[in-house]
Amino acid sequence: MTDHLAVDGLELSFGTHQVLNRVTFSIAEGERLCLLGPSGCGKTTTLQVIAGFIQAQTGSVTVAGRPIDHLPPEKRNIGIMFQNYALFPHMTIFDNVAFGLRMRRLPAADVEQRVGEALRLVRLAHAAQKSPRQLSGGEQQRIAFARAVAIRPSLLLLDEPFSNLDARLRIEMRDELLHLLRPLKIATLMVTHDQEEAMAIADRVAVMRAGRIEQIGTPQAVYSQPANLFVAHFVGESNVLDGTVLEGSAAGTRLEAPGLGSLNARASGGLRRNDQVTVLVRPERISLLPAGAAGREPGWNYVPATLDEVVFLGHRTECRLLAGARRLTAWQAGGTIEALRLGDPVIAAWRHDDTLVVPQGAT
Amino acid sequence: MTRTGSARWLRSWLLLIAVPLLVFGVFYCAPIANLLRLSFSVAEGQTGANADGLDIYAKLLGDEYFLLIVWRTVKLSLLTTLACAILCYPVSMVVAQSKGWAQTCLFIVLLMPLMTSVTVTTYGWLILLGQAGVVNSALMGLGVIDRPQRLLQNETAIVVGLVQVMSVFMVLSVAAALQSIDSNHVRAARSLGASPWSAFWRIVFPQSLPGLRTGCLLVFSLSMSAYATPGVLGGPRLKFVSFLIYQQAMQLLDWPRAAAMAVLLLIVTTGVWGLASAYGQLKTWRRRQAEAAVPAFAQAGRQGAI
Ligand SMILES: Nc1ncnc2c1ncn2[C@@H]1O[C@H](COP(=O)(O)OP(=O)(O)O)[C@@H](O)[C@H]1O
Ligand SMILES: [Mg+2]
Repeated sequence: MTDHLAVDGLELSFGTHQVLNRVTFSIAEGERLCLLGPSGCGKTTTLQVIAGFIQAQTGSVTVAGRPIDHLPPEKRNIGIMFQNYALFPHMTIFDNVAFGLRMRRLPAADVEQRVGEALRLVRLAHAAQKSPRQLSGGEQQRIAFARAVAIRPSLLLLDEPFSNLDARLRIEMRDELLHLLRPLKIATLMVTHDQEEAMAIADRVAVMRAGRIEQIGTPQAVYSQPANLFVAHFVGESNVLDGTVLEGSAAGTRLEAPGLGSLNARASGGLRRNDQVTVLVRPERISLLPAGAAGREPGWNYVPATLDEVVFLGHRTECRLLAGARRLTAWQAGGTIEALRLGDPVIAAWRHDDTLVVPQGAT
Repeated sequence: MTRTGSARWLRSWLLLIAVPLLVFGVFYCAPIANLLRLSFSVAEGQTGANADGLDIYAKLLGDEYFLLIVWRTVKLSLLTTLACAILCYPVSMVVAQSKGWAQTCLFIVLLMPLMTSVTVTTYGWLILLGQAGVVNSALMGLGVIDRPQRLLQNETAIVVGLVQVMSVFMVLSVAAALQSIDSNHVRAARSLGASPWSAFWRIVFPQSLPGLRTGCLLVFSLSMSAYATPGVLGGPRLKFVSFLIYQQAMQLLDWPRAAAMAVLLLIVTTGVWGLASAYGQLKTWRRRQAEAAVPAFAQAGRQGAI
């Protein structure tokens, strides 16, 4: 696959505030990339630079091998779905979707045909003569999508597409958008602060913090091998422990975690004896065994603990454990812990491979 | 809600609107009612067979001198409104885009003519437009004209003066409309292929029309009732209706006639405005009719099982 969009070393400061710091990534043809990061980290600014509304101080943007930095927004052929949809309130839905086609001076018959296609795609052909105000939030979003794709853009930018919808509709529209995007095969850059949205929609996720991209990878890779503590915290939840390295090798890392004893972790390059590290374990990776359970398998860590609190959440049960003075959270599916009661001694078990090590300082 | 509850709610609500209603009634409706009553009364010392209420109106409407002044008032007010709209729109764009203290400064400049007394403003215009004024001297110095031109005491001077005073109303209402337009609308239009000019013309301008309309209404009605500015800059020959009313009431003490003139001014002002907006409504209605031809696919969608 070739890079369709290449963003290379974007830097941008407003006064002394550096908003973009060497932002570099690329999107292959037909690929969906999601910029994921907390509010204010520069996601919208990145989109604006790509769209041509803001000029970066250094760096370049290339689409299909052609630099587009010198082009005004109207010459870039990029479809944008805005956070607030930005439908033109003084025009009908038809005119909204037709706007880009009319700007391209398409004959009226073609305009009508392509607006029809776009509206049928989002199942709102019957709303053509309505005003944007007469539509619900979800419908407005679909029109914004139709308007952006009607021009057959070479790149699609989606800024926080679900942030203006209520929680229930959000999940519905997430599936809907994925369903719409898949067959279109347009290179898409989506921006969100919601990790679930990012993972659901994107082929690859780029985690961003304070104007920098911290890690790019498939949702699975970013989730299971976070590059640092920030990514681990931002993508999913983690148990965070301190540790001291006892021994590091290509086969794995052995370390001492105060209160938990010695643990084995996934191999992590460049660690030496006595290095201070942060240890991460995802709550859903921790299994609970009764205290007396026999049998120890190789490749697992076993830590004795007591069951401190149990919170039933429907799709999972959240168990809070006390291992010495350390707190651990373990998520259990179904009724596996029904036999246990509060205060019971248990054994928390997880694989060596599910134990991640991040050097301290690499926050 | 229970019955007593809703009754209590209604009572408190009535109490709440009672105060504004009272103020509105006393300070707005009552004077107008009084004006109407007065216009139908007969002036003291005026007797005769035809001296009933409508007589004054009939005489006024047959009075060419009065009609000429009404016509001038309407014409110059419309010109003022037009000039204000054209000149103030770009200014409003600057105001809408400026922020913080820059915007405050702009507003102070615009409000200046309202805060300064008419005498001072007039003196300023005399310095600028008088026979030995700045404009005449400059033009003579440049050799454009060889003797001073009369720049005051004509209709242009009235319009120029009115525009200066009324600008702030136009700028305030247009800038408010412009500022409420989502900047993402312009971005969306640009991304869809519109040039900056096209985005302005198709997206910004149509959305600013309500503000422009409000501004025009304000400027037009205020110009129709302007007194000081036309009086000073137009001189005694070029009177406005309000000057005539003042003359009738204060110098000739013919209050019924003054009141009738005021009522007619009110009717003309609302009438001209009503005609203008009716014309606007007609145009929108025609456009809607033209648009109502629904595309075929939309009809198919309507019948479909969606
Ligand atoms: N025009 C601007 N002037 C100054 N600071 C700005 C401007 N636009 C954005 N910023 C700052 O840049 C940072 C990134 O903003 P943005 O890209 O909108 O973040 P995000 O979309 O990730 O929430 C924020 O801290 C914001 O305050
Ligand atoms: Mg944003």
